[in-house]
Amino acid sequence: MAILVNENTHILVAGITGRAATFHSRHCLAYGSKIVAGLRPGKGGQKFDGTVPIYDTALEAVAEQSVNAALIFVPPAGAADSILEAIDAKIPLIVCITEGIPSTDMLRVRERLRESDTILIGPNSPGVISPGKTKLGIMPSYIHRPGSVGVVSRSGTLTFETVWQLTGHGIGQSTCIGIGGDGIHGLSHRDAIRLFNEDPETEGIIMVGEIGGEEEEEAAEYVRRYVKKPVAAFIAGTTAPPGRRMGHAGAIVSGKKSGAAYKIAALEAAGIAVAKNPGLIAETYAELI
Amino acid sequence: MKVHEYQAKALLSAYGVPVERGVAIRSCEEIEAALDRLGPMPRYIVKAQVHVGGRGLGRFRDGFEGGGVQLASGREEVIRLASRMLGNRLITKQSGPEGAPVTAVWVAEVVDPLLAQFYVSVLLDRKAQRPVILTSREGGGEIEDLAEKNPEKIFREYVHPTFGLEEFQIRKLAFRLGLKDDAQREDFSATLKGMWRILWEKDASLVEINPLALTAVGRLMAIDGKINFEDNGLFRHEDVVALRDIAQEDPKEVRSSQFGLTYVALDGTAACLTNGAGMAMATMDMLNSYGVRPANFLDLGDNSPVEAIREAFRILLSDPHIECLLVNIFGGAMRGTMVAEGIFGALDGQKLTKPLVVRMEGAEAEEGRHMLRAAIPQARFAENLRSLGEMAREAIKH
Repeated sequence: MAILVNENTHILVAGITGRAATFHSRHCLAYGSKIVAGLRPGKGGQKFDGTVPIYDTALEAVAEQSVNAALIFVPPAGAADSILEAIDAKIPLIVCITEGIPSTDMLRVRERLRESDTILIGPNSPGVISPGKTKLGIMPSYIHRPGSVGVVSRSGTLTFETVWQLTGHGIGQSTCIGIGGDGIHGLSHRDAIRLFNEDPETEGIIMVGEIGGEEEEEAAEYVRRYVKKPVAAFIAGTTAPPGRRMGHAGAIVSGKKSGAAYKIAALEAAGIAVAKNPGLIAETYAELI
Repeated sequence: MKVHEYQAKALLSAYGVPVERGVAIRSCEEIEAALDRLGPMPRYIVKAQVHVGGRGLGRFRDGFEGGGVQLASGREEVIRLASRMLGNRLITKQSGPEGAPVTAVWVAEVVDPLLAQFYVSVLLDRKAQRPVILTSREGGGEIEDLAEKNPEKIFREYVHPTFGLEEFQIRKLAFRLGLKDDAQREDFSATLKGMWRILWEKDASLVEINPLALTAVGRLMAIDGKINFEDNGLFRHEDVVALRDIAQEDPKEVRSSQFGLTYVALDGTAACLTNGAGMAMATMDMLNSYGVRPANFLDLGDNSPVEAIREAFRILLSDPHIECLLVNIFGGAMRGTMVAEGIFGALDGQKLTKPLVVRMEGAEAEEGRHMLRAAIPQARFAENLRSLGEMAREAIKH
């Protein structure tokens, strides 16, 4: 079993005719992902690659196809609106890949999410994959291997790195989630760890965090109280200079609490094994089991 | 994106916040006319405009003494101070040894005595995932220090992003700050409303007044101001983009931002070409753990065209302090062959003289490695992140 997405996930791709969306939709389809609809206002009635029907509105797509997830590639200026549209259409899971959405837009999205049952992953996320079942995102397929470790990360490439190390160690993954590098976003580290903890077929968890915010500490508190499965982690940005935004809008050390040393101490106090450097993530996990 | 104090004050004032009266001067020729506009005052304050903090304790590179914030008792003294500051470079604890260029000075009347100094800011609280207003009676100092030592002295009020700031919230904060006088509460209300509107309408990430002063006549007035704008929101605010002072930024960071790259200059000697912010940070951490000091943080993103990769590699090559070049690419959309083409483009037929260590995974990684191996004989190829660290350490030693 996996969490959030599996072979029964029926995907609506928003912005499907864009360059990146086209590229990644094809890769998802090749992986076996069930993309059942595309969304592009004004191009309703057309087909993507001759097979996937395109709709003008999310509501139409949901009415005509068995959509239960939205994958959003819409450019920053319209991405939050696209998320709001998917929430309005009561799509239970939204994965937003778009990078560069203004925080004020995401704050409005957050308020709508509070009033709905929809789960949002991202924005600025590499997506989510349940290896061997389905992928909704931009991750290279070949690095994954089906298995029982859940991976949650704020970074795209560092998720790939972690997965690649695991696969190299012969350790497969149940589901890998990139929650995105922005300060204002949907699913948190703690939410993901709770889902992994409740999933009977996920046997262990890896959390890849980074400087900025307090999400890793909140997740650590959850692990300390509720999680019996082995948990390993890595925190990126130990050597980042304070006050500088390190690429991700969310990765900035402001005050002691958002620094890597404070986070690592909080994780270790919760019984999480923290990798000493990013080359040792899979090894650190392997030593636990 | 940061802006100068004088620009922040102009925006605050335009949004109805009571701000001290003053003028911004950008060149020596402007001084006389600006002081005419300001009118005669008993005492003036002259403040160098730079983006780095610690101005008061800073020193000028040409040896001019007294720091970046100085008092003047008459017009002649203002002219002398302003003309020494303009075009000079101010070195502060945050600026690095080169100092920051003083592109403008702010001249205002000295407001004193002050009956109280408050702290007020509006920013996004990531934990609550909501905007928050922070206020304190203990303004004028470092808010970070106060937050650590006396967090109970900071009052906060969360703002609902779509309903906005409510009157009762303003009253709550005003009475907690001890503002009992009606006129003071009106000033306070105008201040908070203006700050909130700037955050919300202009996509600011921080609007801060420290201190908001209670003057001898019993009114509130911003005597300092700071606004940071969120980079993600700049595409819809041409007026904000116009406030950018690129002289305050590292030229390499400016160049890279034109190509959609994120570059942060560091003080080491190993240049890094990486994709993804997390991976770029992890690469830095990895190198440091092997005793190799990175010269930069560079995130290519995952969707950059070859031209951006070429520019990124050019920027790395332009740093005279580097001893070796490291490439760590784990591509989702970014193909290894594009990275190799970008590097060749930057070299433009020239031989690379410095050591190069490459770690490449993801789309077309094998082809990319092959291209680089064929063209750059000294290139070494790391199988994983750890061997990248080891090879980097060896490259630095030689």
